Amino acid sequence: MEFVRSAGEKAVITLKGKLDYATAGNLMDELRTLEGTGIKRIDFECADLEYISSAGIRAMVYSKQKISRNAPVDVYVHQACKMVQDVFTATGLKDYFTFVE
Amino acid sequence: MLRVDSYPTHEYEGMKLRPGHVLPFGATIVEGGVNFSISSSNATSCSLALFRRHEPEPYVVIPFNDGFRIGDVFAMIVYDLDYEDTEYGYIFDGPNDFTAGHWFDPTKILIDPYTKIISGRGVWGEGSQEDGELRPLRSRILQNDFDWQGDAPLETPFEDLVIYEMHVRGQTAHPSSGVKYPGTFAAVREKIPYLKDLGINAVELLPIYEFDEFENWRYSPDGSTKLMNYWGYSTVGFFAPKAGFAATGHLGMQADEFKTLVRDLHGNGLEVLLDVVFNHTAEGNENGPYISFRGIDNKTYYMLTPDGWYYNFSGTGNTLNCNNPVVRNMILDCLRYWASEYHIDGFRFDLASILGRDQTGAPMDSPPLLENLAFDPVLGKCKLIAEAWDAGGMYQVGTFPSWGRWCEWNGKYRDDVRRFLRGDPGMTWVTAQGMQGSPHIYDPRYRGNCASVNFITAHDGFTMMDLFTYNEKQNLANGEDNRDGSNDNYSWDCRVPGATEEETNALRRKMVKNALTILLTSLGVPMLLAGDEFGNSQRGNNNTYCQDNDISWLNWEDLERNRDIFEYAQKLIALRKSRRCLRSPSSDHGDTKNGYPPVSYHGVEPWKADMNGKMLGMMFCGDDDFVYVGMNMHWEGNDFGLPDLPGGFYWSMYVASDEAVTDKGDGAVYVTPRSTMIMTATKDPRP
Repeated sequence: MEFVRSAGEKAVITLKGKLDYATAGNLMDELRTLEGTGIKRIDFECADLEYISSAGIRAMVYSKQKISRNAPVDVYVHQACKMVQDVFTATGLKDYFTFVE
Repeated sequence: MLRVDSYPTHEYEGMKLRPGHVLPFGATIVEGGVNFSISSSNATSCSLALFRRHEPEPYVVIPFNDGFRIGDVFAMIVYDLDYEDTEYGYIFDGPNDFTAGHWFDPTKILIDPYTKIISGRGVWGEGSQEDGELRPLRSRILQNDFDWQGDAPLETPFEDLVIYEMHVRGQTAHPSSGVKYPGTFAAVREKIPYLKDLGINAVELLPIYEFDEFENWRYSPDGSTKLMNYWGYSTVGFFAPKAGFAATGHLGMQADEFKTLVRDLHGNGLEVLLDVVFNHTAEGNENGPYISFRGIDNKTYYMLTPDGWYYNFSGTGNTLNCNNPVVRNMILDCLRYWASEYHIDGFRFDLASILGRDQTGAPMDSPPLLENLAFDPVLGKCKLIAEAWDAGGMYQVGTFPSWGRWCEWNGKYRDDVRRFLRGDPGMTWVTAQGMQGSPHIYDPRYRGNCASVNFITAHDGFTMMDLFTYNEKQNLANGEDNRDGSNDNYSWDCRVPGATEEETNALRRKMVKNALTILLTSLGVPMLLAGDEFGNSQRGNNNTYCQDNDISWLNWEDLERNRDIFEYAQKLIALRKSRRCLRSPSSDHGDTKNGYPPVSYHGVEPWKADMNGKMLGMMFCGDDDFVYVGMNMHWEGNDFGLPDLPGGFYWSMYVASDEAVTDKGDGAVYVTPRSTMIMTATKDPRP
């Protein structure tokens, strides 16, 4: 996994490989650094994300719900593979984020 | 908040541990680790086996030493577990003495009775390992959080429910269902618009607790297909949703997926009732496998004869010892869990009479388990529905202990209405009773007006179309030489001498509409079997417990083929929802303000019912609210005189099962042979 953060109100986070219990903690640590920074949008670049688990999904839900105290952050998920998209669809979260091909 | 008890105090083979919390039972994620807690009244030792996912052998087996046990409960916190990659089981030791009822075997790795998810059957029908063996069923750890987005159980008044009995897989497994993930919770979500369009407001799901679809599997007689444990009335884990019913089951996300379904059903006004099976487990008889209870505390969990054999009041080999205090608490914990963590609105209890037997199998006057469930605060608004009989001969329809809380699947209603529909003589009185909520068996003073869950068909038996297509069950595909399944179907194949095939099929469709008419205008709570609203057939198989194929799966092409039946059902449900007098009032109001009784019987002449005939009129009245249901089950047509209405009201025809039914306009309606019709009264707008 690799995090690339840009300044201002938008952060870009690149996810690679597996986002599961073993790596979701790292993502959560990274997301917590964004709390209180005035961030309004997060872009997850997922072209190389092969697998997402329950813990991974929870980290992404956290990014939308908890990073901003004022309003939910807009979260965009870019180029997610079918497996990742299926998980979001089957668990009813596909509409919770903005998916971008 | 910093806790002083959140750090390890012990170590075993590199695993960091400390004595755990005895409650809650099960595996619970706590700060830094996972708390494991399990009880056994008769074990001498317990160990926790931890596996990495799909690995055949545990990477560590941790004994609970004496400091990790309080009373009969073994509890331990294990730190730094990757809970997503962990499977676990328990190993118990103790006496192995058949006559004494003890089956302890330290070579067995057992599922936690309180496990929240189970691995091994993550994809329906795909349980094989590389060597062809089935994957072992193992407990997993659930992060039990969910974003409910403000959802809560709906608490729809019971009298307002129209229940739809559904098999999660069968609803969408057929290719014609047109869903993205056939046979899954996610797919049922895709069908919510359809369910809303039909008008039902509650789904009752056949078992969704984890079960093993491979239990007793075999090939069909012609060798063409596998016969599976399709219905799932054989629980492996009472707290775990079936992974194979989830598109995400292979990822261990079945709980999330099912909760999402519940939330979205609620969001569309549909309650969720679960068909729960507490009368037995999947461990079978004395020759069955060790899965969980047998190896943890056989004598506690099962009803045993004095010499150690299993009582078999369930017909499946064993009987859960429901009125043992430990088992009673587990059942209560389980239902509380589903009501609180999954927002479930109610439960239908399979073979519920077993829940009223004591530990020797004798029926109890005031069974503590049933009383506990009736008065439990967490379940306080949940619907409690009993299948009020068991396989040991107890039949309690009408007499199930209720405390004003329990209602019943009304098997008598089913049989009486079936017989009336096919034209048996002498069935009008019992049908009239059934259509007013069966006060002849449920005294409204004690049972209210909603004790009866009315059904004509259910998963167990013919579908409505088959009820009028077959005289006898057609169960050879089950591989039991047609011995299985009920022989008392009160069905009729609708073959009339001289009728063409087209005429026969038309009569069948009309008979389905007749059945829908009676079901959806009866007081009490109607339950519709999924697919009956569009004439689903199971080819005459009345016991499809093992048919995971197009015998059982709904064929959605029938929706278009039988569109008229669907629209008829839709119209009846809409009528029921719009007319208060068709829904059981919560109390007996006496006559309406116009002086009419709330329910009255009629014959071909108003107010003159023939209780030995084949024709019946039922009038339901509220204040300024009148519905008349005319039913002619005779082979000849007849005029039905309508009761007079108060001034300012007039009758009009709402629906009829036969287009030839004619409102003659002179207070009479010509009802064609074997037809039903509904008249509603409307206030004359003229001054």
